Amino acid sequence: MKTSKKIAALLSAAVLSLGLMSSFAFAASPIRIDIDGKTITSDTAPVVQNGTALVPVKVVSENLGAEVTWNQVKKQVTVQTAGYRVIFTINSNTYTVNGASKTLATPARIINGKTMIPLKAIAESIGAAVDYNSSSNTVTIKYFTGLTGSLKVSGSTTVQPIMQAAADKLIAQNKGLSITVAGGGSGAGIKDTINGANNVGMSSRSLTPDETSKLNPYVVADDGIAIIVNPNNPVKNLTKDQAAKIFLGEIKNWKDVGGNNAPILVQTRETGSGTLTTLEEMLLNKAKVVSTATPYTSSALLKQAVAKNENAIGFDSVGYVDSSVKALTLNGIVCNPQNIKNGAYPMSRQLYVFTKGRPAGISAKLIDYLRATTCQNEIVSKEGYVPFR
Amino acid sequence: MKGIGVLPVPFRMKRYFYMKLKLNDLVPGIIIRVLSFVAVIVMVFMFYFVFYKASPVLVSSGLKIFTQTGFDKQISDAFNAQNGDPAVTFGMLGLIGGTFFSTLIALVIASVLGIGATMAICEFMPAKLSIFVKAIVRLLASIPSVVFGLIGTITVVPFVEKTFVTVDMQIAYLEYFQMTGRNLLSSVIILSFMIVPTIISLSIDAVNSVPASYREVGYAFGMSHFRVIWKIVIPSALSGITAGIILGAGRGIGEAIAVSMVCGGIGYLPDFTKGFVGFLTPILPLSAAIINKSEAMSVPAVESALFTCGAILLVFSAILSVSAKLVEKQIRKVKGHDE
Repeated sequence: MKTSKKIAALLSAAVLSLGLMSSFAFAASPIRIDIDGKTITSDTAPVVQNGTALVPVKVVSENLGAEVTWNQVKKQVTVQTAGYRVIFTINSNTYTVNGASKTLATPARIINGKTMIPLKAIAESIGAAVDYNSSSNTVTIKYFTGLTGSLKVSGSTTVQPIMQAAADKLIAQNKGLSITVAGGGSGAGIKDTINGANNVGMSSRSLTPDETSKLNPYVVADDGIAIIVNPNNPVKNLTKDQAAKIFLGEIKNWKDVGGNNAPILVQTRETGSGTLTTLEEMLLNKAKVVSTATPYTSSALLKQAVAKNENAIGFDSVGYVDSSVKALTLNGIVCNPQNIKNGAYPMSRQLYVFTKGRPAGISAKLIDYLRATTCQNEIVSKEGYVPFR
Repeated sequence: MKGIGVLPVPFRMKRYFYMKLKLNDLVPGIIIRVLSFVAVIVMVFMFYFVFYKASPVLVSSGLKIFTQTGFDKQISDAFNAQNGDPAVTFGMLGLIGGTFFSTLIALVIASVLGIGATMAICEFMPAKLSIFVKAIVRLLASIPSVVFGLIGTITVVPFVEKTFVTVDMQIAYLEYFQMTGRNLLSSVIILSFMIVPTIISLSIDAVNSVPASYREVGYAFGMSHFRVIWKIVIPSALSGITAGIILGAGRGIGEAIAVSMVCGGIGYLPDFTKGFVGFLTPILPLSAAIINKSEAMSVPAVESALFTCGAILLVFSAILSVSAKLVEKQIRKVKGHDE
């Protein structure tokens, strides 16, 4: 009892003196924050109070992939990463990490109308390595670097390009990390995750209540399903009704929708595809695609089939659409990020990754990376999908 | 608890001699026996596992598996029912028909081509050229099947569509199925190319093992080269050639990836009463069905149905390998020579 008190006293003294010293240092020059080797710029500069750096919540959400929510009644900021849920109460010295209560010297504050949270506390709570260099007045945070281990990812071929690009980036900046990304379709991915055959699963459809009870899903991107035809097909637009009738097999000739006198060859995905399930829900009122439609096991194969056949029609995630096929406008609305984001395009959806139980370790880091603004802007957009934030 | 140390002296002597004399034979013998036993156990376990997984569908569908079609719709329905009940009725006649027709027709084509090529290599080519061609055949046999599939989608599928399918035919048949380049014919073409190298490799070995004296007898009787081949070489090598054909059939039945890329992916039963249109029907052989439908395996009924496909394939190939032995034996008996 006595020794622990002594230690506590010593510690607090140390913290206090460190705080005084650093507050002096901070006064001299503005603090610099490096996250994974990149210097953070923010429109609101970090503030130092009693030796603690307070940063705008946006810094955390953008760079560490956390989701930040604000509770006006309780004056609470909730920072939610894949693995951790950290709740700060404004001007309160206690905060909670996954439900466990902790104390800090300098609480979260509202400064000039912006919510500022203590950087060290939040970074350490969610499992980042934090280091302070007083001579350069720099806080160094390692969150997506220094990772080791191996991960298996499988599921939706729609999410696969995003996942592969993110995995490549992470592998490039982490020497001991290996991530294998396989397809298989949403159905297979969900089954694999439930059975423990992968660490992280991917799905392009929302999970059923039964699946949600077994898995922890996270949104990684917004997406639209584009109706695609061969570039040589003169048809440019379909009404939602016409599109539905084509996929149901009720309209069989292109001349009925303003095209050539040629058969409409519907190309579809195999049962189990999340893209197919979403199409059937959003376009066909849960009816099934015409039984004569040729099925493909992946988004890429379907696109290739449409690119090769002048009379084919199919559907693919907007991320797969390129110059080899032509995306039709639906009710005159172009399938582009803007129209997907604001919901004007009729077939918009979200893409998910998930783990069995609460993600931990590198699985959690991978999910946070996918959700971080950097990845959303640099990878999700570049692959043709729509950032969800 | 008697240790070796307390054994009576004669026993120890015996053991010593035993070790000295028999150890060299005994240990490898035991190892080989254990290993072959493991192989048998694995086989038994495989059969058990596949049939165990297939049992819900086998029980609920019974003979309907062999008499009903509509597999694709049943899979889709089972997937969308989402109630987790694995006992759903599936009809796999279309799948079995697809496997049967594609393999059988490909086998006929490949046998003719294969035996012809073998005779060309063994009987008519200069030695240097035949060595070169043999190397190419062996290379062909070892090409991964996905490569055949890729070549199929890029060349065979458009070729078949351009050559045999017209827009009018497409419109006329759209009611029943999509007439494109992905169909039974494309599957047969791809399968033939995949089976031929197997048949040639085995046939070459069989022809080479026909004793030279047999031919000499033929020539002594004044037979032409062609008659020697037809009357002496082929009949003498028949057991080996048959083994090659049966192995080829095994490859055809089991081939999944390449066929799944060109077959059309829907389990229609080709109807040859309509003439050539039967060849332009999309099919879904059993092995391709396992690949294509595995996306929906999260549903127990679908999983069980796919294991049923596996069980049927397993039985087919077991029958094939047993009949290969029987046929070989029978041919040897009839020909009255032993190797």
